[in-house]
Amino acid sequence: MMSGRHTGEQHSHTVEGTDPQLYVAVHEPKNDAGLRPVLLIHGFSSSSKLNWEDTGWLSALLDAGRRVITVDLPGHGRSGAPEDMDSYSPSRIRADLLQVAFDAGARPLEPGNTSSGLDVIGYSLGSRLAWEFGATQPELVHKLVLGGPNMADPLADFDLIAAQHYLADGTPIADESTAGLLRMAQALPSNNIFALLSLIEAIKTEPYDPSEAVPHMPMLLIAGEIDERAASMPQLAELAAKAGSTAEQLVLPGRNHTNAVTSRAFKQAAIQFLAS
Amino acid sequence: MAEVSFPLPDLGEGLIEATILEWLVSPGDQVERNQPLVEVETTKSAVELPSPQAGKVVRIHGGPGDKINVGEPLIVFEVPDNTAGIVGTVPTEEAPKRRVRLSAVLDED
Repeated sequence: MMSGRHTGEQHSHTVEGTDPQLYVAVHEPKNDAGLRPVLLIHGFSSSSKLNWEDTGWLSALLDAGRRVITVDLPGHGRSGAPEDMDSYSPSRIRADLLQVAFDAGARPLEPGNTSSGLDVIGYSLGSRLAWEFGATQPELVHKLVLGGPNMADPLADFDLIAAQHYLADGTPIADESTAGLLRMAQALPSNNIFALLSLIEAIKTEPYDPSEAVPHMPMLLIAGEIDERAASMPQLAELAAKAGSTAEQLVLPGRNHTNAVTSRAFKQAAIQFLAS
Repeated sequence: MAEVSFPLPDLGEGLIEATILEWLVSPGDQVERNQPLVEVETTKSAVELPSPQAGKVVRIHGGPGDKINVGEPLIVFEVPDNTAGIVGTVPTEEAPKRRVRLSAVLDED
């Protein structure tokens, strides 16, 4: 079997009465290291392909003998774009991710069994989801790698009204962060822009508060040196340390929020961290 | 031995150039097919380009921060003569997807 070859599918396991229409793929390594699977959670306006495949993450993990689960978030990549706003709420997404992980064969951690449990790598919004997922699933999650993480979700300050006016009649958006995020979202033809706005709306109803629940498994926090969206990574590490968790930090020289993703140093650190 | 040059491939989405972030190989390195060669960044995303073939790296073009236009030389390999003729073949083992691949510019000889 060839490394990286996989059959992806629209995940159709009903969770809480509705089908999340998520596109899930399980990637098998050529030489399995016998370790627990790794779940990858991509960022806002990205996809498994853009965040993990084109950047070399998937092949690096497969080469390290890891079994990898990728999933496109709702409204992103090849996943469906449900019309109900509830499908986009972070709590619903976490429930769907849990189902996806179990359906892919992940099982609760057992002491001494290196194939039990689940490792999670997130980037940006994916790191927020991974933080909350780790905090709420201590029996399942072994370790977390959080890329481009932050204390607050920049999507929570997104000006939805201004974005809707802009999309309706081109009224310029005053808020620079909102304009930038919308530009990024529109740059990719695979994005369903209205689904992405539903995601933002849902995020506003469940704002990120990392102090509310702190994961207790070991964490590795990684960000580019000039990543302004991850400027508060040290505070996040401090929060983890205060709660008694181990949180290592790695800063990637010269990298920003966009180009930290491909960094070899990032991949190598993550693979090494998760293998121990 | 023959030299085969690969230009920066079309990265899709109407992109015409990319910036080198970091080379992952150096001249003199023997690389495997699909081994990561270089990280590049476009105005839309950052990608890692895998090697289209096995061979010894003879030259790399551009350093970190340099812009390279689509179609301009990116890397030159040295390959045994008997394989130089088939480098233009599109690899077929991968499942069809839009992953960007380098393809060779064949010399006139």
